[in-house]
Amino acid sequence: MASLSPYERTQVLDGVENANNSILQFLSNTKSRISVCSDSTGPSVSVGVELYKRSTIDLKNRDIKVKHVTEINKENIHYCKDLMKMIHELRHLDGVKGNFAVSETEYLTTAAALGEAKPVQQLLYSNMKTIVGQQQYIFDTLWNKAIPAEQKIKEIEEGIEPEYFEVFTDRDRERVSQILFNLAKSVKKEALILLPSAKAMIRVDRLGVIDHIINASQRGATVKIICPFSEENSEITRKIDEQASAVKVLNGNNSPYGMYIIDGEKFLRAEVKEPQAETFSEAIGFAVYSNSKLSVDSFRSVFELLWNEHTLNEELKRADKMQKQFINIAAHELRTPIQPILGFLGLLRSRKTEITKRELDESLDLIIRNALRLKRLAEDILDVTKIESQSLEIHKELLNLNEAISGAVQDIIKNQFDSRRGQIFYESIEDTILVEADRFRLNQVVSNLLSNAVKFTKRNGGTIHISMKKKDDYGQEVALVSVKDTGVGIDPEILPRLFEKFASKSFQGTGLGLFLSRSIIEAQGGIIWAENNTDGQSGATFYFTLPIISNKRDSQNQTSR
Amino acid sequence: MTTTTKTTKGNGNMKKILIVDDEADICTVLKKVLEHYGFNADTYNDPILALENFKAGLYELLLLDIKMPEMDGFLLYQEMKKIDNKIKVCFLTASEMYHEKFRENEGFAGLDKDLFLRKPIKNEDLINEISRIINSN
Repeated sequence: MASLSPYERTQVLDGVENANNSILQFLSNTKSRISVCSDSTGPSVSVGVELYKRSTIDLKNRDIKVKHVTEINKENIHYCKDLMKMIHELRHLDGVKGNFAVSETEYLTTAAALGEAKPVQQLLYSNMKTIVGQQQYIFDTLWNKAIPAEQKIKEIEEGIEPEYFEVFTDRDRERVSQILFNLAKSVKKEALILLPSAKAMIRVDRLGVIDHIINASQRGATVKIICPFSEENSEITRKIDEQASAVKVLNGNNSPYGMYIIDGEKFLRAEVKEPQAETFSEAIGFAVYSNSKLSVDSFRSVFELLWNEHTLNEELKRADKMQKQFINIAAHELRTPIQPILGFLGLLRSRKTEITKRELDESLDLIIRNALRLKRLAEDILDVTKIESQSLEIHKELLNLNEAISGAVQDIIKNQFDSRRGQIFYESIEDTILVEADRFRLNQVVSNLLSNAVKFTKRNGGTIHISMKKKDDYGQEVALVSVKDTGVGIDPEILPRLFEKFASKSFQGTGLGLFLSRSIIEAQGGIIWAENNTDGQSGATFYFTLPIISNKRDSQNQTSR
Repeated sequence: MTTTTKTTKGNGNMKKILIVDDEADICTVLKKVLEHYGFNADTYNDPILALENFKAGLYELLLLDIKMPEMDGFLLYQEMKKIDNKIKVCFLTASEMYHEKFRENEGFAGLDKDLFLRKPIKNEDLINEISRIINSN
């Protein structure tokens, strides 16, 4: 029999105090690593007993690698999640028994069963090399068989069920109805629903499905519904829109079946046998319900394809509507100025008596004004075409923004502004603000914003303030120009797409001006936006920025100040 | 054409035409043209104001734009008709969609298509149409 070296010992430690002292000693002796194997109660002891928890955190702070293998189940999952944060790595192994820990030189094992979140009652300690070595080998074997805790936790949380594929005939209609109800109730992340007809939407709403879907969306689930729209189901689509605006409903075609794909895990596909039936269970025929991953995935991709197709379709319809709208607006805008031109020219042509110089001048002014309006419109339409074909040229030059804007303001006051309608004020904090911009295009933007402001400030006595200041925009110095009016403000319905083409809801104008302005400002490195005034005044404020070109002389002036 | 109108209506107590169009220049030109051909005309570019000042018996014919802010030409006509049920109307619009569908949607499908004129219209054509409407029953 080999003799024990004098410091090698194996002993039993009774009682919580002795056991704890031994554990603390064990933990403080280790230099680099500890391997722990425990049954499913183990994690609750490591995390739930304050002394052990603190010691474990301390190990982490000392940079000691703790590996722990245990059996993770529904009951201890929350302890395991906490434990994962405290140690180097946690793994799961089905049916692990026994509780022990091994460090480089020592071994501890419980001699009595553990209680949930209770301190250890009795321990067996050893620093015998052979025992430590054997136990480390056992641990390593178990460790290599175990799976990452994350994987097991995910499986538990997602409630992995065995695969099933249930087929129902029309004798099981009530059961299918129940399945659909439960599915709608269970939605956590996602519900993809294809409804065969407007009537079908009414039926599933009657079953309570729509309300559950609305709830799910309010809890943050993604909900997409494809369903034909009609007068019949407009009340329900309105309800969805009002209560859960995140639910997307697309207008679909009638289909011979309904499909419900829930959380990417389960689907129900029910054929329609009685299209006119009042209830879901009366309407359906053959149905399939399954959690088969392969089938769910393929139905999901079919749904997504349909979804994209319908989205595209809606976009096309919108584009088509916009095109028609444009033709209508353009027709109105192109024809209107022709009437005064044609009318006055006709009058001049058919006059029988001499007209006074004043009358002639008035007529000619009116003709010129309207011809200019036509010219501007023609140019706007051409500019839009250029923007869309990406051939709009911007000729940048170094210019003083202050001068450029006051020039544009003077132009507007001189040419278009009826001073009886209000006043235009221009103020600039700085004398010289250098920007690199296209003078003509910049003038176009300012004149656009100002004529909008004038147009929408209908009541007499309105004011328009245009001002400019320097502003720091995430480290870059920019000039901020604002045009604030006291007009009617921007229709909230239009606001989100104000700078898109044809967004105008007004009775004059093509809806091209702001689209052009945005393109021009963005091409010069700035941004443009608008908001309704919130300072108690009516009206809106438009803003745009342009990057400032720093100039040496200017910065010297600033530092010497 | 002008002579026809004048002889039919006589000259002393001839009623006026009321022009309502939100475009000031259109109002101006229509008034000038009508006056040139012997009619009397009042103009408004604010339909609300036009309605406020409207009284029965003042006008023979309304010459209305359709697309106007705050109150469109159809609605304006409806309201004026309530005040003066003998008033005649002619719509003059630059829009592309004033036709059948719009009339149906707005509940004016019953209105004769001949009462709708398209801007821009030549002076002579405008006078012809207006005379026709005034002289119709």
